[in-house]
Amino acid sequence: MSVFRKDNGIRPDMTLRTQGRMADIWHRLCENRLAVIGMFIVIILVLVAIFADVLAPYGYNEQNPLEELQFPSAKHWLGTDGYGRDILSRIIYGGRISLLVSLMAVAISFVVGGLLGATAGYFGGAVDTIIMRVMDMLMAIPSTLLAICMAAMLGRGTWQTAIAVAIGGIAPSCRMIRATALTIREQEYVEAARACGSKNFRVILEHIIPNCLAPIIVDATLRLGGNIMMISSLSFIGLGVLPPTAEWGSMLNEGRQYIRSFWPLVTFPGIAIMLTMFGFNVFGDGLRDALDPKMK
Amino acid sequence: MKELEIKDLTIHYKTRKTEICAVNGINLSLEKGETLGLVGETGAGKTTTALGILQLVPSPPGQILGGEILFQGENLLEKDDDDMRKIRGQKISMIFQDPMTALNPVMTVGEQIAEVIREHGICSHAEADERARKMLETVGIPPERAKEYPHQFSGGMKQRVVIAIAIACSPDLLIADEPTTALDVTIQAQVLDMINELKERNGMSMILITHDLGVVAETCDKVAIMYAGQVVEYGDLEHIFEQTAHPYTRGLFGSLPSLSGDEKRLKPIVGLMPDPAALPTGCAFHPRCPIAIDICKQEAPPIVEVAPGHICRCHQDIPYQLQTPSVSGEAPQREKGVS
Amino acid sequence: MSKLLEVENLKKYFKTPGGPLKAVDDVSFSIDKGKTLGVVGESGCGKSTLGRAILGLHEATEGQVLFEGRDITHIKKKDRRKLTCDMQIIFQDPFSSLDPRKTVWAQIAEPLRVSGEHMSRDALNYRIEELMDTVGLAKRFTYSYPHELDGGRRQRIGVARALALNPKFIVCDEPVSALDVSIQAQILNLLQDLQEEKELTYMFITHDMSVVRHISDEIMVMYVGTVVEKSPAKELFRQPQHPYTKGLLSAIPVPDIRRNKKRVLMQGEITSPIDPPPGCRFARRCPYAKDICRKQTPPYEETLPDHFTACHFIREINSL
Repeated sequence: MSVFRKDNGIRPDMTLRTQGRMADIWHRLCENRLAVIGMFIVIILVLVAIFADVLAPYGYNEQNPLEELQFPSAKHWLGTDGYGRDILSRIIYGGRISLLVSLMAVAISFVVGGLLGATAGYFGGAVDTIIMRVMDMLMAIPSTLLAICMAAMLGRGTWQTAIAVAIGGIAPSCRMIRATALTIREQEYVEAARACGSKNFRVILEHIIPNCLAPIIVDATLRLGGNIMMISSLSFIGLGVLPPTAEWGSMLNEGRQYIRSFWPLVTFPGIAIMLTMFGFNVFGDGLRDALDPKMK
Repeated sequence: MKELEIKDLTIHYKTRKTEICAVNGINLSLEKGETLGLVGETGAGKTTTALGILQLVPSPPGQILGGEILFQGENLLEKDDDDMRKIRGQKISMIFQDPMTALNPVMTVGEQIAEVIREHGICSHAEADERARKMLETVGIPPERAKEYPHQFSGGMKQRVVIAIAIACSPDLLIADEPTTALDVTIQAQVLDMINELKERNGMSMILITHDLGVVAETCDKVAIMYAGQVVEYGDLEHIFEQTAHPYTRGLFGSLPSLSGDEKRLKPIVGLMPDPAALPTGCAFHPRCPIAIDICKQEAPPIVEVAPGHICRCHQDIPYQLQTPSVSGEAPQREKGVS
Repeated sequence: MSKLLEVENLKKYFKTPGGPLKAVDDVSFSIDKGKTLGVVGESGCGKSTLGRAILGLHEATEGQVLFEGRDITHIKKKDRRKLTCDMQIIFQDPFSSLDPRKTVWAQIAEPLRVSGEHMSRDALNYRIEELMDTVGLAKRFTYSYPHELDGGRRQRIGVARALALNPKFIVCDEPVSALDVSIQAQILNLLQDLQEEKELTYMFITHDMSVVRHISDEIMVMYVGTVVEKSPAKELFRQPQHPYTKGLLSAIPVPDIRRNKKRVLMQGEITSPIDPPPGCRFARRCPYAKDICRKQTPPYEETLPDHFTACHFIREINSL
């Protein structure tokens, strides 16, 4: 709260404040209407991904040669594709794959990037220089190009795609966490932990990383959206998950050949990607404002 | 006519969940050329009072709920933004606590002083620069250094620059919010001496906000002791230091380790400052007061004039003490279920 | 009386682009068991660095630190960890010295957990409860977060942490500077009680002269990395010898309106510790400085019983 000016560097006594920080954050988030919309989109997406088997009217690979390229109808709400597969079902299953791969990629890039960044920031000196120069090299390659190269090298498949997408995310998350770690390192509680004999690794795990959590959450949310885009791009050029697994990007690719004659096949996956990106970005921005009200 | 008179000023901060009662009906007055020391602990409402005088209380959440601030006979609370802007800097100016953040790092100090002078349209561009250099000289900085940037100055020097900015338009009233807290003792002595000298020379009045009773003893004519948004004791320097009336003021003196005495243990005030969002009923000090009785818990204490010009807010008749006061009884040192 | 800590010719230099920053330059002293040594000086005089160098948080550039007669200046990491049980530190800022994401329980548990000694959960709980009681923290705060507590209580957590491993020696780095006077007095009393109870030895670093006088047995005055004067606490205030100490003492505002307000006003600013000129560091501000002061480092010698000073003209100035 910035109600009070700094007085001997100490906030006024707030002893009786029982409500926690989480409640404050939640309240600030709810005040931001756009963020709430974003949050809804994200929640719906997650629910749909989890309950895809229940929600989807057909299987993702249920082919019906008699019903090729049908326009939306009561039987197929969003129409069917070139093999007679239900587009709605494929979008639902595609969301599950996109979200799963994206989550995997975010997890990989944050575990690797986070540990490297926290180590670099905490130790400084030569360790910092070496890690950060390697990261600079990674950053020098455009992330899309990097992901394409990695995907081409590793081949197609869920894990392969996740790793390919994650590589590009390591350097930015490493940088971000290093910057946060640099400021946390200067805090007295880190020195206090060292003074009572904590090992360096313990200090990083117990103090540095938990205190980097707020920016990590925000960045991860924003990156989840970005990764979904990247996964779709990879699938679009035929490098992502293996067919016949449904994926928004590969659906777009399939729809490309019918773009003039049959619009549903490009339109609906496109809308799905757009809405998802919008949801994650808006929600991420809202989270950032809620976690750090001073940033506004 | 009094230079400044504050009557029943009340300022609260209203947030979504709470209402923080920062200033609760304070009365203060200041004659021309006098220095008033505003003393109190963190959260006592000292700074809010100062911001209230300048109409700079951040709003929202701050709200001035009532009272009058009469400056040279005019009520500042009735002035509009334009008038206040003219008063700020020219008639009343303020020095903030932290000299490290009060200066703009990308402007030379000369420019920063000249900016204030220009802002009030007193003189031409060139003249303003010239005056800025003179101001630097006044605060004991060689005028050649006007072209330097804040990071080239030490803490004490920066505070001198801040003071130069504050007095650039020769204000009638200077509000200094803990001007020396961030400085070392030897530098603090220099800065305080300088402020005093400038004050005498320009015939300024001054409100000095501080928590250091030593600084008060050396610079002030009048003292107001603040606790939980109220002035609990107000009077001349002699009243406060030698005829201490309010139990809180006595507690403050008891908490100070002295430079000459031989006390083995300090006698702190028990407990903590109350939460300004949930002040105790009755006298705000009663949970910590060693002589509190039943009425203190229920009714707000009256304003009693214990001697001419010496005001104390307490239910009880407190006999004058002629020596350094001490709180009766040994204060329990450990917190067990207190607060 | 036995010496718990001896420091001999300790130096700590930091590399900076402008030359070596001589934060601590040739400092020697010792502290007896159960006593308090106050270290005073203005910002940048190296008092905090000295405390950290003794604890090994900063590697000493030169010199020796002896703890219970054993050289601990360059001991192995493993031994250093064992030593942290005996030597602890209380920090200045009760707001940044506690991890905002840990409860009071976890803050106090940390030193106990990393000490290497395995403790069962029950033993840990019992010990934490005991420590909280020792420092006067009510039990209901066990699972509070630091931001829910005020400065005084936070500082009590800091004290509890430092006490957790039953140390013999504690460096108190400005433990009360960030607190209000009434709270400051509570913490000072607590520190004194603990010292009596547990025979602790303190090195009390502060810039507040009245606090240091109150709590110390001996006081050491530092100026830009060097010790200028050291004497028993009361004597330092009764008859300061070094011109810097004299200026420092007379600069303190005293809450006494009958005091003679004449003061020796010290001119100028504190010398930068980065690559300082030879000779006495105080020479630039000293009213008595002569040529020799700008060329030769003054000797650090005993001028009165138990009273050490570093000044070329100490006898002339004080007509000893």
